[in-house]
Amino acid sequence: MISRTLSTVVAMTVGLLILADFFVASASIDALGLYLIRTASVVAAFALVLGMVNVLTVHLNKIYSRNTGWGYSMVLLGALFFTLGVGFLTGGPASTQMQELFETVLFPLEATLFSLLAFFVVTAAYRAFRVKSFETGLFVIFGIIVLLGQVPVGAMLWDQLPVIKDWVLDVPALSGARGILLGVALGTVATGLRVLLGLDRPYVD
Amino acid sequence: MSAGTLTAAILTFMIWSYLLGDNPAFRIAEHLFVGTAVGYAVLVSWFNVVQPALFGAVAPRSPELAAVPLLLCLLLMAKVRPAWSSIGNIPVAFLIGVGAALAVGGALFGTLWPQVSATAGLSLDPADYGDPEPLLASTFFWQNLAILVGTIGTFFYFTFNTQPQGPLGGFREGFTRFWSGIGRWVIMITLGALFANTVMSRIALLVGRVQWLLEILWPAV
Repeated sequence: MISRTLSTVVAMTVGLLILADFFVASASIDALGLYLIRTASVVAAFALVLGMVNVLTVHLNKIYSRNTGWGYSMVLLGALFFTLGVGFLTGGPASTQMQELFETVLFPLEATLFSLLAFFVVTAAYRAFRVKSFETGLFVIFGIIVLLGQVPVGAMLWDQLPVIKDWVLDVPALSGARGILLGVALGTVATGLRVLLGLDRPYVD
Repeated sequence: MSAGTLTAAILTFMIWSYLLGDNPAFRIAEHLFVGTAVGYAVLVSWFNVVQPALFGAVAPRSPELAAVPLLLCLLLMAKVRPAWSSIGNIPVAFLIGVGAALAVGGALFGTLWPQVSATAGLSLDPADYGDPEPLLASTFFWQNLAILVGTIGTFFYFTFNTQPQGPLGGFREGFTRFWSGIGRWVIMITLGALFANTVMSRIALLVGRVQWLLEILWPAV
């Protein structure tokens, strides 16, 4: 109960102080706001370290109890310890060895995983590009215009296609994105204020 | 070809092997990726954030101020053990409080204000853009009108709770339905354009990887 009250007090006080920093031009509030944000960034970074402890626990349990795929868990933990070892022994992520590890392992894996999505996006496009109503018709037509307008084949088919593509992005897509952003921003303000006023308490177990 | 390049090429093929179905080569590459990514993220957060702020040059001069992040980190460690989890709620509340305030401030000054200003700044008068054409013949007029109508319509689409109450309830409902109908069309056009851009970005990544492989496997090509 004390922890619950204290958590609410902490969230409200800290949040309202930082919010005040947006509206009040005062050197002391500026300094306090900056200090609180820096402290939060340290705690968030430390939470990442704790997240690693959770990954360790899950995979060590999997290996210990010989669950399905325990061999893959060993690969994961091996990669994790190897990366941490190289990082701590060579002085951090900026070292030459870590840069080499990044370019040899992390970057190719990440880029290829995202490139793999090209195939799934194309199959998703095949399913999405089925006209069932007027609205899906709009989605399909403007999606195809923007797709073809970006590739040389589109300009070969019809030289006005890139011009129409630019218009679609500059006018209807811009206004749609702007309206969505306004809606999202208002939603964010409402949700954030609920947290800052203690009406929502997502930090309480 | 260097050992590093060969490793990168093998890992690329291991990931692509997923196109033939789920297989051990892909699973190994996937777990290798997660392990390396977690390790790298921890190293970056430790060396670039935690260490400088607690023990390094960025640490506050006053010991009391330096003690607060340290104390919060220690309290957060209680989250590891379910029995002590409630103690860990305090640093989580601190993070959520800071996050919510930054989200509210960011949404107000980073999104709402600039977007409203940009929309309100649109002029329907062609002369403001140096266009000598009369109003209805000007491209600027129609373009800006379309942006205004699209933005207002999309914004109205997020009004889900219109009830036909009061003397003007029916009018209000019809008004909202009309604008949100326009908004639905504009949203579909926007999503179509965004989806096309997503497809193109993924294909560009694929082309990049294939090009890289071709360059290292057949340098003369």
